[in-house]
Formats: sequence, C-alpha cells, structure tokens
Amino acid sequence: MARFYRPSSPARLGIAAALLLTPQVAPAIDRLTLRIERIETPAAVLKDATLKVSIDPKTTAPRGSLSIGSTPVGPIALNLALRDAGSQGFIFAGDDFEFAGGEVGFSGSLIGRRWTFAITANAISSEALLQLSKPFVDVPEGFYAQGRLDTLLQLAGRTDAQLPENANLEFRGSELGFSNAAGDFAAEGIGLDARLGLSADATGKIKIAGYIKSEQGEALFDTAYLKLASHPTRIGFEGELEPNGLNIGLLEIKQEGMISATASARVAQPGKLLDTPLDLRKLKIESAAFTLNELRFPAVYTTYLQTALAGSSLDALESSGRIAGTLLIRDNNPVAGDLRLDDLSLRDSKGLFFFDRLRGQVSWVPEDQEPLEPSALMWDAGGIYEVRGGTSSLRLVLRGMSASLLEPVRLPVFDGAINVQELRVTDAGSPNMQVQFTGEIEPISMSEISQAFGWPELGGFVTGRIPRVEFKDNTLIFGGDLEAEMFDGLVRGSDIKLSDPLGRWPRLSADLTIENLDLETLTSTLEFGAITGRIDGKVDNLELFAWAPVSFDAWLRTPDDDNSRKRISVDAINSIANVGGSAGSGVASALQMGALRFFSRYSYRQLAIRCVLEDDVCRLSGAPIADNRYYLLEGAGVPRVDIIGNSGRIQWSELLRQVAWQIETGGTFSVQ
Amino acid sequence: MKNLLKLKLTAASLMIASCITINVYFPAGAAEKAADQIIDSVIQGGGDRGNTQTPPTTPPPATTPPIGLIDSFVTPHVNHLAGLLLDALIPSAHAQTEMNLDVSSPEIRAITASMQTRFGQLERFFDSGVVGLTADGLIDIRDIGSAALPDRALVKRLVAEDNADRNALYDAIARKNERPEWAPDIRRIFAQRWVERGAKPGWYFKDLNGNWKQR
Repeated sequence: MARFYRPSSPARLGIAAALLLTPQVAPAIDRLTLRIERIETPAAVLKDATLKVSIDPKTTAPRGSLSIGSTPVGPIALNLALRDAGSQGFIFAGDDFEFAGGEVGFSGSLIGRRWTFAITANAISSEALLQLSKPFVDVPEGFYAQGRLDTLLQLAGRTDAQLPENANLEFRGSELGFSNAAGDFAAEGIGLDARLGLSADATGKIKIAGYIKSEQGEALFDTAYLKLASHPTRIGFEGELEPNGLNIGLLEIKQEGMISATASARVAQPGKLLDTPLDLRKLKIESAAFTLNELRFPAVYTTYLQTALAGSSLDALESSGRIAGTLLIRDNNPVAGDLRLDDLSLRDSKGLFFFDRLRGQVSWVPEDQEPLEPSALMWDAGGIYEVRGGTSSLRLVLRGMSASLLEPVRLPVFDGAINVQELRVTDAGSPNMQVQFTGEIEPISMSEISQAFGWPELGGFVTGRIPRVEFKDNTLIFGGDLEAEMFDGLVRGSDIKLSDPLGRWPRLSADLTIENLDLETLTSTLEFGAITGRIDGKVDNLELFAWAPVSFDAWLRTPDDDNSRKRISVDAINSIANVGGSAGSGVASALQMGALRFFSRYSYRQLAIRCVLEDDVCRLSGAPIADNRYYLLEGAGVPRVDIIGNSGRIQWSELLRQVAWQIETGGTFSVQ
Repeated sequence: MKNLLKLKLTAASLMIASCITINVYFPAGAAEKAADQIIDSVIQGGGDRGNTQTPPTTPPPATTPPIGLIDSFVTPHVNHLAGLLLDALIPSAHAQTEMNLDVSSPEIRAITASMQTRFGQLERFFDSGVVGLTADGLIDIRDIGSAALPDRALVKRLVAEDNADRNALYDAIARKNERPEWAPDIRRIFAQRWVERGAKPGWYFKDLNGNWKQR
C-alpha cells in the first residue's frame, strides 16, 4: 500500500505523478506494472490504481495505461503515450477521459530537472470541482454550485524544488450558479472568465496575479443584489502570498456604471496559508487603502445600500451624482477617508428630506489625528419635510466617531435662515451617541411656511432661539424651550422630545405656550375672516405620530388684560361658527338681514376655543356659560353677536379634510 | 363570570377591610378580538380601502341646522353618573370590570394601513413558504432560497420593514391602553391570532421552540 503524505498543495500531487513516470526507474526493463491499492490525497481517496508502462520494440518509445478502480467520480481508465524528447527527457500525454461529467486530458514533460504538467477539463461539473476543492477551501455546509466549467491547470517546476515554480489556473463558463444553505449568498446564470496565476521566485516568495470577469447573470450577497449585465464586473489583482495571509499590491475593481476603484490591502487568515483550508468567512482585512475613482449613484445605492437600510428612513432615496476619493480600512472597519462629493443629490421618496447638488470634500481621520484640512460641503438646496433651504455651505471637523462644526453656519430657510452656532456629534452610531446643537432662527415669513405646508396663508414672521438639543436612546431631547416669535407674539415649545427621528414611526411630544399673538396679522391673509385683538393659548401634551397630531389639549383665548380693539368680521364669525358645528350660510345670511346688514364688523369681549384631541375626536369647548354650553365668541356692545356651542365632538380627520376643502374652494363646510 | 365573582368578592372584602390590593389582569379575550380586527384589516384591506387621505368629493349640503351641535351629550352624562355611583360603592373594582383593549388610535390605524399596503407584496411569500410567522408576533425568513434571486433582496427588505411596523404596533396598542407592560402579552396574542386566523393553510409559523410548522 502506497500512501502519499498529505501534500500542502495540489502542485505536490503533480510532482509525485511526474516522478512516477520518470524513465530512470529501470532502463533495462521493458515492461512495468505498478499496482497501488490505495492513494490518499487531500482531494480524494483513490483505490485500485494500476499503471502499466511498456517499451514499444519498434519505436522504443514507452506506452502505457492507467486505470483507477475507484475515484470520487467513478472508475477512470486511459492510455498514456510517452515520447522521448531526446536524451534529456520525456513528453507524455494521456487520452481524454471522462471526469465529473466532462472530459479531462493531461499532458506533461520532464526535460532535465524541469517538468511541466497540464490538465484541461472541458464542461466539467462545478459541483464536482467544489467537492475537489474542499481540502483547500473550507466550503460551508450546504453550499452548492451548478453549471459547467472549462478549466485549465498548468504547472511547471523543477524536480529538486518542493513547490512548482509556476501555476496557472483558468476557468470559463456560462450559466453558472451557487448558493449557500441560507440562500442569501447566491448567484444564477453567471458567465465567468477567471484566471489565477502563481509564481515562485528564487527566494521562495509566491506571487499571485489574476482576474475575475463577469458580464452576465445575477448575484445576491446578503443585502446586495447585482445584475451583472447592467454592471459588467472585472476584478483584477496582483499580490504576494505570505505565510498567514495575502499581500495585495494592486486590486482593481470595475463595475460599469457603478464603481471604479483600486486598492492595496493586506488580508490575514488564521492558520498557515496552504496548510489550512481557506475559510473566506474568517479572512480579515488587516489594512486596505482604497482609491475610489468613481462611485456612481443611484447604482451604488440601489445595489449595495438600499436593502441594508430597510426599515430606516434612508430606505427610499432617489439619488444621483458621484463620490470619489480614498478610504482606509483597518481590521475590517473603515477608519479614515478623504471623499470628494460631486453633485450628489439625495431625495427621500417619502418626502422626509432632500439635498440637491451636494458637493465638496469630506476629510475623516482617526480619533487621535488632526485632519490636514477640515471637511467643506456646499449644496444648492436642502430641506426636511417641507422646510426648504437654499444654497449653503459649512465646514466640519470629522474625527473618529465625532463631528463638530468649525464655525457657525447660516442655513437659509425660505426667506430667512437658521443660524447654527454649535453642532457637535460624539460617539455617532453607538448607543451613547450624543448630539449638541444650538441655533437661532432669522425671521422667516409665515406666508412661506404656510404655503410650503399647504396651510392657509398666514402673515407675520417666525424668529427665535433653538436651545441645546441632545440625542440619547434614539430620542432627540430639547434641553430648553424652543421659542419662536411670530405674529407679534411668542410661541414657546417646551419638553420637546422626538423619538425614533430616523425611523419609520417618529413620535414628537411637546407642550406649547402661545403668548399674545396679534390676531390681525394672523388672520389678515386668511379666507377665515379678519379679527383684531390678541390671543393667548396653550397646547398641552401635544403628540405627533409620524408627524400627524394624535393627541393634545389646546386652548386659545383672549388674554384677560387685552385692552386692544377687539373686532371680528362677519366672515370670521361664520368660520368660528362652522368650527363650532354650525354650518353653511345660515350664520352669514342671518347677519345680513335687517339692521345687522349695516355692520361688517362686531366688537367682542372674548374668544375662547378649546379642543381636546384624542382618538381622532376633538372635544370642543370654550368659555363655560352653564351646563354644557359655552362661548366660543362672547360679543360686546351693540349689536352683540355671541357664538355659543353645546357639547361638541368633532371627527378630527374630517375637520382637517373640510378645512382643507374650504381653503381650496373658499366654500363653507359643516361638521357633524 | 370570573370577573363578576371577583367583583363580588371585592365588594365583600370592602365591608370587612378598607385596604385591598387590586390586580389588573391582561384582558386576553379582548386582546384576541382586537388582534383579529387588525389582522383582518391588514389581510383583507389591501388597495384603497381604509385610506383616510381621500378628500371629500362633493361639498357638504348648503342648508344646515342653526348654531349649536346636534350631539348626544345625554348618554355620556348618564354613563358618567353611573360611573360615579359605582365608584362610590366599589371604587377599586370598577377598573377591573371595564377592562378592555382599545385599538382605535390614529397611531394604530396608521401602522395598520402601512402593513396593509405591504401585505399586498408579502402575501405571495407567505404562500410560497419563503417567510413565516414567529411566536413573538413578528415574521421571519424561512426559506429565502425558494424565492427567485431578484426577489430575495426584496423579501429581506419587506421583512425588516414589516417587523419595524409590528413592533411599533404592539407598543402603540400598549401605549393606547396606558399599559406599556402589556406589550409582551399583546405580542403573544397577535402571534397566536396570526397563526389561527391570519394564516392560510400552507403558511409556515414557528412554534414556541422555534421550529417551523405548517398550517
């Protein structure tokens, strides 16, 4: 029984085979039969091998046959032809034989101390190849391959060396596929052209070079889905094998219409290379430096990012533009980068936010370093929801997992701006992430804001202070009150919390105080009707879910100390009566009859409206009179008009719909 | 019956001692009904049904009653009075007899509508066994390999999105009923009802040990 020692590469098997055929065995013998009961190789166990060699008496060239009774692919039998290559050696070739569903032929030579060995395999099953590669590559359980491959293996070396000097492995195939057991690392219909070359130099260093090309089929890598026909892919590489890793001097990645990049990298694998089966899952990128010539959007986003971001607010972006630059990776994680953004536009298709033509330089360095220059970004337009901002730019320092604004920045919003004095993010992405933000609002026209949100057009300006904002437990917490001066008064938000701000279901809670608004400014542009005087109010326990109000307790009323002239138009009376549940033209027509028709405005003592929203129902009330009756409007003087409500329950969504309808058409509406 | 018995016991013990502890139990029966209601609208809703965004197509009638709402404020009043009376007699047991599970909040409706829209895409993956229901009220990928390759990334996305909605739904129901501690029970009830009511024959679900079973 012959037993080969476990070779550390397929190449050694080649040498062993070549040595067997060395004619120096016994020149005087004209017939040789060698029977081997069992051959153990890392790839397979072979049984009942018989090698017969005889010398053709006429040509004196050796001929022979090889049969192996049991191999992983069934019995093999083939004829061998050996040709004398002069005094220095032999050339040999085997007949083609069936192997793994395809046809295999081999040839070789031994001239002096130099040998060559080549195997061509046409249309062999990729599943069989996968099985054969198991000793060298750790194939995960349940992993399978399909399709047929044409392969070529060429080896060349010297008889006195342990390893071959050159190895060349080529694969070509179409309609190839593979899948892991889970089915999320898979490909179908792949056309493949790949080459791997290895060569050893005098010092024993092994250089590798090769490429993988594919222009057809589709592949899924976890959350990345790639159509190769849309993005023909070529990956080229050159490098050096090291005892426990791979040093890649040049990696070129090109995916047409999507990615063009080069890189150098050091990849480590646990255990000694060639001795331990390669486990792709355990490879670690110790270090890599990528030069991104181009990352093109939307292809990069739709192929590699979109599914990974599912369930977040970034999962439905329309994107365009390019990113280029460099990226450094240490121990599998990006640690630094220098990226150039080229007209990158991002727009959430659900309307959450947008950036138009974002451009500039992002310089990101590790925590312990200083960037050579800060990051500088500018954009043509950007916004969150309907709050639109114009051209702006900012400078940032990005270091490790923190970012801070280098200098205050002015973000134009409509005809005003938000001035950000401080913005600092630390431990980004971790549960301890903290955001600090302070800013001020430069006057923004309410008319612009109301137009953007589709509200009735409101007069006046918003101005105010944005207090310290912190981010903790996936919740933005406003450390102080948010104040906005509008309509000559003040609106203050306190206890503002926004949970899950980037998730699918953001929830905002706050209390609002409304102080001394000027009703004339507020109503001057509304179809609602004109009112003069002042108004105070409160919105307690305001809660917005996915930006729609779900509950609050809101009060609006004339301040006790309001000494201003309080007048209300017929239109406004009609509108308030409508909200209060009365409807149609009844009120207006009643006020246009008899002596009342000479009055277009009436004095009032107080306005009072309270709406407690819960479960899509607004419980409406005002200033209590008695029992269940209340004033919405308490008139004054002569003639006096009061609007008195009874216990009122209004469907909130219905009310919003009706108000919107009224604004659009200028008509009246009823709420029941 | 059980509740009534507790009520009587509580009333009786009130006469003996003035200090008692009241446990509020999770209303499993009510939760099942609530879950069925939501599951039905997710499955049967589809399309434009249940869409609350539609603006009114016709303007409201021009002739309407005079100032003042026509609203029945008598009934709540009577209820309130009855409540007060009950409160006075058996104050603490009151909550227990009325325990219900309310699933009518705008949050719950918004999430349900979102799940309803997605169900149109997910249904065929339930039918083909690509995804299944889990014992904690979520969904999971069972056999992504049986989906066509281009669909696999879609399945991952739908499952992640649907689970985000499902988690938000259970929290919203617990929050609506001011019982955040009920969220796990609500989740469990939904898991059961999805299997018993929502799942078609042939759909897969995970049992309590995490093994896939077929309905």
